[in-house]
Amino acid sequence: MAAPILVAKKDGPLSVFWRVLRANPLSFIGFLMVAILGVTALIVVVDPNLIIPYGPLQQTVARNASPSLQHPFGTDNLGRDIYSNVMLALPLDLGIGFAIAGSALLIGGTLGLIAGFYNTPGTIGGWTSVSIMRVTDIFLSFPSLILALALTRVLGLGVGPTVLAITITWWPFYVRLVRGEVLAVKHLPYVNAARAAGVTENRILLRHVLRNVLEPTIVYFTLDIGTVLVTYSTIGFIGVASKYPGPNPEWGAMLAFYQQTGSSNVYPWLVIAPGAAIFVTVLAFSLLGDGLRDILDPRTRRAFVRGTIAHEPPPEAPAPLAVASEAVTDSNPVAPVGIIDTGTRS
Amino acid sequence: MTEPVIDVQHLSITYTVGAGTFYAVSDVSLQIYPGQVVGIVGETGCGKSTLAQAIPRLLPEPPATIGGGEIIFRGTDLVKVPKRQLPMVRGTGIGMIFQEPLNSLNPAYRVFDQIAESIRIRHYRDMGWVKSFQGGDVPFDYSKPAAPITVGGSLTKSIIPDGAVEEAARDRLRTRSEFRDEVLEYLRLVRINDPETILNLYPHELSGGMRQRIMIAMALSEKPSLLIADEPTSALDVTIQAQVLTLMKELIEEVDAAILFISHDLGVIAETADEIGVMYAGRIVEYGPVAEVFRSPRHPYTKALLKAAPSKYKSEGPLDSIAGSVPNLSRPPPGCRFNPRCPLVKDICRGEHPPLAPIDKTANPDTPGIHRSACYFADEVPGLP
Repeated sequence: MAAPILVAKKDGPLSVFWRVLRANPLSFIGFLMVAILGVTALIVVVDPNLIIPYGPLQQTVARNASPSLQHPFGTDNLGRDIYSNVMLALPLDLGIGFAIAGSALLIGGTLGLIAGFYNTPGTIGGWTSVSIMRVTDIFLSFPSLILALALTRVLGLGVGPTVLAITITWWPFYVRLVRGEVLAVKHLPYVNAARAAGVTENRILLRHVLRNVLEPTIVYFTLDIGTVLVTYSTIGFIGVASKYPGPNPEWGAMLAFYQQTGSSNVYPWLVIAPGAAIFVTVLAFSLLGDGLRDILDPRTRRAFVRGTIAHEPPPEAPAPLAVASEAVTDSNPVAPVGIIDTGTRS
Repeated sequence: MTEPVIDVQHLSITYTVGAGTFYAVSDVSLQIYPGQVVGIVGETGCGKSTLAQAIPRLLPEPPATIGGGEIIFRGTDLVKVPKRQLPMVRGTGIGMIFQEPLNSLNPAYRVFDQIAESIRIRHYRDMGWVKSFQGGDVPFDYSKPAAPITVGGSLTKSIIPDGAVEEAARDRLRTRSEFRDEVLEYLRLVRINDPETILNLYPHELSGGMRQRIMIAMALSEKPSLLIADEPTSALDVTIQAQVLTLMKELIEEVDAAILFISHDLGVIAETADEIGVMYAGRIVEYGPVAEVFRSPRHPYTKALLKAAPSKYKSEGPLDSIAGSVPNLSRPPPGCRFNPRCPLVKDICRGEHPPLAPIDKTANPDTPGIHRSACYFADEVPGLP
């Protein structure tokens, strides 16, 4: 049913966003870092020549050169520019993070909503819920990294199969998270109050439960992008995900290659640059997650936003019944029984 | 004679928890007529809130089970209505105000969105865009299709009579500002100062009394024919309680709805209700016009309850209390449930539970609202200390 979109006027989402970011420097840094990473990745995709001086496999005369102006992150034993490779890997690694965490959020989140909300035993929903949870448990009983590794062996080498393999092991965490949140929210009085107001069950799920589950889920999602990257890099490090050196470098694969060839023992910049890239990306999304929590929860958001509006509530209507028992005695014939004492107990 | 808005007949509700069964409400009958305020009073755990939530079928089933009885609303027994159709009854049919104002508003939405949602539900049902509860033998009129929301086009016009399309369009395309006016109107109805500001606030920015007013505004904005107030003032502190109570009393005059007012506070009931039902251990033990019940209680429990209430006329000494404690409802005492604590107890009290019979033996027992008591020795109660 199409409801008219009802949005109150003051504090548009953007202005709230800005004010929270301004009031919370760490979140601001996180947001800034994610923005820079995103823009850089976009530039690399659109026109790599703008910021990447060398091709991924292009060999230069400077072999094993330490970081310099010409080669900011140094070069390897064949003179390949590390900076170019790290930058070229950025869009791929970001895409991998979003693809895996995003699909896991969509699949796991939807299943978690269903499993948590329609869990009355003995109904169709109850059976669905039990089935979802048992399948989830089966997946969770495997260590996810081992399962992902096994799956990559089955699905084949390369970026696509690895992303698919990690996604298959990743969604159960979201089922558990969202189901737990839904179970906590669905028994709160405001859900029952909405039910009493005649709101249908499906709308309660979408309007009241989902909205209040969203905040912890989105925060977990942003933090999870970092974890996904580390997991992908771990698999890349074992050498089954991406081929390095190759046309599409990836940070984990770079680390693995230089570590396995032993070059990193002598020339540490070979691993410092891709390692730092992973670190910075994970940190950026972690900080962003903290900021998003503040933005999404009206209770913490207010603390940042309402600086200009008085905090004391507006005066309530004057109470004609200032002394309750007096008024009762005057107006009520039963008062002489002597029990009328409004609100001495609560 | 007018029909009652709601007619509860011999309602019994049990809770199954683990291996135990709790008889929370047993054989409760209650009629509320248009414009009437009926108060239900009793101790914690006597089944008041269970009764209140059972009427719009809000109890989670399981663990709750409606063991028997009928809840007749607009000619339909709500006990038999399938779960899927219950939302159509709630809100516009039977509205409810809860006792936890602090948690009964969704923390994620502004006051405007909360009230606008209620108005939207009522509006959609009024316009026939969603199915609503009709009552009678055919509770849900499926023969009449819900009016299409898209307006215009020759097909639509052939089904809908002349002028209806334009009218529907006008109502359908109400702008946000028009919703806003109606929301403001309800905020003013519940005596909120500066509603323009309150509109944009979140629930956590409001005091308990304000939130309870918003709750009341939400319930009223759906224009229910029965409003159930489940301890609306209990969670508030004394001064706010008095304000909300005053508001409730004023609204009772203004609003055209029958009201079921649940409270453990005799003073609150005395101020608001026309008729009062006293509940003990899941049963209504005494029922009647509020003044009559308070002046001359005819059940030993009511008498003891009135005596135990604090009074401004009795300035010294400890408060009276009722000896013994509330029975365990998983194993209620046989016969009258008050018999272990009753000063008048005789052998007969441990047999059958006494019926809720009129005090005036000559009166027609079917007369609504006459003073009744579920005690074999109702005539001896006035003689108790």
